[in-house]
Amino acid sequence: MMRRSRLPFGALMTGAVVTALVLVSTGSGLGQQSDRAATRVLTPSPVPAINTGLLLEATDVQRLRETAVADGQYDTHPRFVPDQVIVKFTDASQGLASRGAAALGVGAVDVDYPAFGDFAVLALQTGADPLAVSDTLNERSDVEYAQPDYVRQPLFVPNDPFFHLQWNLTQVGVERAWDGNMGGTDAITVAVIDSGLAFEDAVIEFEAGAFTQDGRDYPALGTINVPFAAAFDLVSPNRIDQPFDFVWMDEHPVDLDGHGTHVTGTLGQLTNNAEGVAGVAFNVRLMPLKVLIGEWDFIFGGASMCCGAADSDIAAAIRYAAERGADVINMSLGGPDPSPVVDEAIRFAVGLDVFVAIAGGNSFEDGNPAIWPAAAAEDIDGAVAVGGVDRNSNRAFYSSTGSYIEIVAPGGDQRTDGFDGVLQQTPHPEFALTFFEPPSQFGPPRFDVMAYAFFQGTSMASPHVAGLAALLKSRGVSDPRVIEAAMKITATDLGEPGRDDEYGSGLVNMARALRGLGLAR
Amino acid sequence: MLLSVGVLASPAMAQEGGTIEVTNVGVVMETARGDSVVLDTIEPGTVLEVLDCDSPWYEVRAPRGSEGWRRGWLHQRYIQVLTAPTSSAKSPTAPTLKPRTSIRGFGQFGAIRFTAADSFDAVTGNSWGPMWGGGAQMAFSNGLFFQGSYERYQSTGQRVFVVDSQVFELGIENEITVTPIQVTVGYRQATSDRVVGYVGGGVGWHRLEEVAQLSDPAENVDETEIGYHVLGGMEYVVTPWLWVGGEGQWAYVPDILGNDGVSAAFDEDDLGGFTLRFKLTVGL
Repeated sequence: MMRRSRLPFGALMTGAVVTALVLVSTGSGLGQQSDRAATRVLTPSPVPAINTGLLLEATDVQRLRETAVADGQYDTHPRFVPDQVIVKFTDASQGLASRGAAALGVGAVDVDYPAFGDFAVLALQTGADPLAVSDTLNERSDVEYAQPDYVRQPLFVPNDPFFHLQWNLTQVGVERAWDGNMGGTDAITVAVIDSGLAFEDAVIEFEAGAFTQDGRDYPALGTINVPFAAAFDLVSPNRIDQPFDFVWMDEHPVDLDGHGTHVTGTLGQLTNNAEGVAGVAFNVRLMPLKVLIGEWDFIFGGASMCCGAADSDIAAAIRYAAERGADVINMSLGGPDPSPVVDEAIRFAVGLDVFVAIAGGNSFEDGNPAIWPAAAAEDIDGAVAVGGVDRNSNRAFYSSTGSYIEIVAPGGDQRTDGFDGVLQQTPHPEFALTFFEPPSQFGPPRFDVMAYAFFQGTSMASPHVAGLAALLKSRGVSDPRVIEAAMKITATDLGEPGRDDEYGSGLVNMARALRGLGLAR
Repeated sequence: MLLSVGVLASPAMAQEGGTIEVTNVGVVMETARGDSVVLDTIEPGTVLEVLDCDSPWYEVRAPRGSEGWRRGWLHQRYIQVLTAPTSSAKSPTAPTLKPRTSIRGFGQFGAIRFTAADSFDAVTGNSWGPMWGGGAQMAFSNGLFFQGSYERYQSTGQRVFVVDSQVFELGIENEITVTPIQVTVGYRQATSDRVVGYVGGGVGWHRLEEVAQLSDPAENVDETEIGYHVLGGMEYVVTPWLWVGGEGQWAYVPDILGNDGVSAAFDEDDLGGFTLRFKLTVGL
């Protein structure tokens, strides 16, 4: 696995007499980082978040990240986890697998069975080619499938945040939808498989090692106390349900990036509370499941690669959510390679009546490859691939197209106007993503300063659909296949008449979907 | 003058100027047609003066003074001819009837089974429902009639989704109102002394209103389309001014369903259906 040690479930210290807990993980020391034990110490904090309001001058996170990649300082978009493959054995061959990695004859040095999976993760010898090993394993009769542990990227295009209203919610008729369904009910839980969530007030002690970026060496910060705060416009008492961090393997999936908090905000930002912005399903419970590795996860040693989410973690998180009672899953992530392990996990979840919304991809101008796991949704009733549109209901410039796009939702388009992104609360990037500062100004991050920022991407579109699914679930429509059909039937047709590869069945129409159908309309 | 009692006779025997005795309850009608206006009811034992004869009809004068026609066909069951013709009686030629128009009003109540059965069943829980209404009719002496009617069907169901013919209810109230306004041309024919049959056909303006809970007017439905219908029924004369009857109607109303909603899901585009009605008619 990517992380050499993870705490088992339930190993965390809890209770009133325990005010701190220590989580230890080790990184494998890729790139500029050396092997070291990754340590984080969490102390609950009574200090709430600092609200900086609307973000008028954005840190251009995407630009900075692209610069870092172009300079070859680190690969923010690795295709797969090195020295690792996922394999699912046929039932009859489980005994073979149990004989050990060496018996497979592909240079595997270890076999691990994740807690929430029906597959195995093989650790390969350093330098082994996961693609070649997967091909070899797929030739075996005792292997159902084998694949590299592909890395998925968060599907958003960070923005130049300017102040604007949430045109996106109006566009899909959410106000009218609320007339009949005021934000869903707390009987419904939505799992957000992402970079985590700003959901608790705490101070976490990390060991921050040295790293290199943009050709510049950043010093080790050593042991630092990083303040976290719950997003006050998103988290309320009893709102968080069974959170889990598949990167640090603990129950504190705090957001070290901001993507997950922003996505979760569109889905369920507290509404009608005289604070900030609104979300679609503001009464449902939230299950943050962290799989996306951000720069800080890497710098802090919680992950051996940066950045993205491994299929093994995604699949495990999907199964975790389904088994723990989630009603809806949102996945605002993806990559260009198919993934049987994630596809199977999605089918498993849908089989348990869990609706799955998946971002359709932002790669239209990058060759427009099919993006997975969204592309798998085409063949799974109850899972929906979501494209993005701008405020004029035109396909956003980045939004991938193809037969797998099933529906579209507001993703924003800030190419010409910064106001046209999707506005939500998120940790202030200038305080959180300090690694983009020059080394002389580099310092510890803080995740207790919140701002309202515009993001764009199909990452932002997908939670609209997940939110609508939550509202329909609250209405008693439990079958995810019916939810998918309802969304498509009631969508506002765009582009070519009928379904097309740009818009799928059209723009999600929340008011209409929640009204259902009458005799003639 | 009463000359004899208990003599059964044919109409030819009861010439004008004679008398007949009614042996069973009956009616005196305005013209020599079974579907004409009833002027009076006659109790058994009543003796009527015969004014004219047009087999099988007798023109008679009723005890209360009204003059009208009494059917003599199978009259043995109803009348006995009591008198011989008088010398002053007119010749037994057919009476000269003024073509008079009767105007009648009616109320009706019944049930419709919609052609779009699956759609109505999905939204209201029933493929049929009650209809009530009324109208007015002009009946001519030659049997033709012209009528206009108004009906109303209303049912409150709920909004649904239909997936693979399965219906999923959302618990949002949805009220459907169907209001046909129809004009009908038809022909009436007496089939017995008190029973009249009729058939007809025509066009109608069928208004469909659909109002959902918490919706704004733009989201609701209020459309009217032209439909076509045929009908047939029977009426029974209760009193000179009251008829009761039963009627069946089939209507075809295209273009108002099938473009959206569950009717599109079921590919049903006809708002018509088959209606059975009970009618209560009052003549003027």
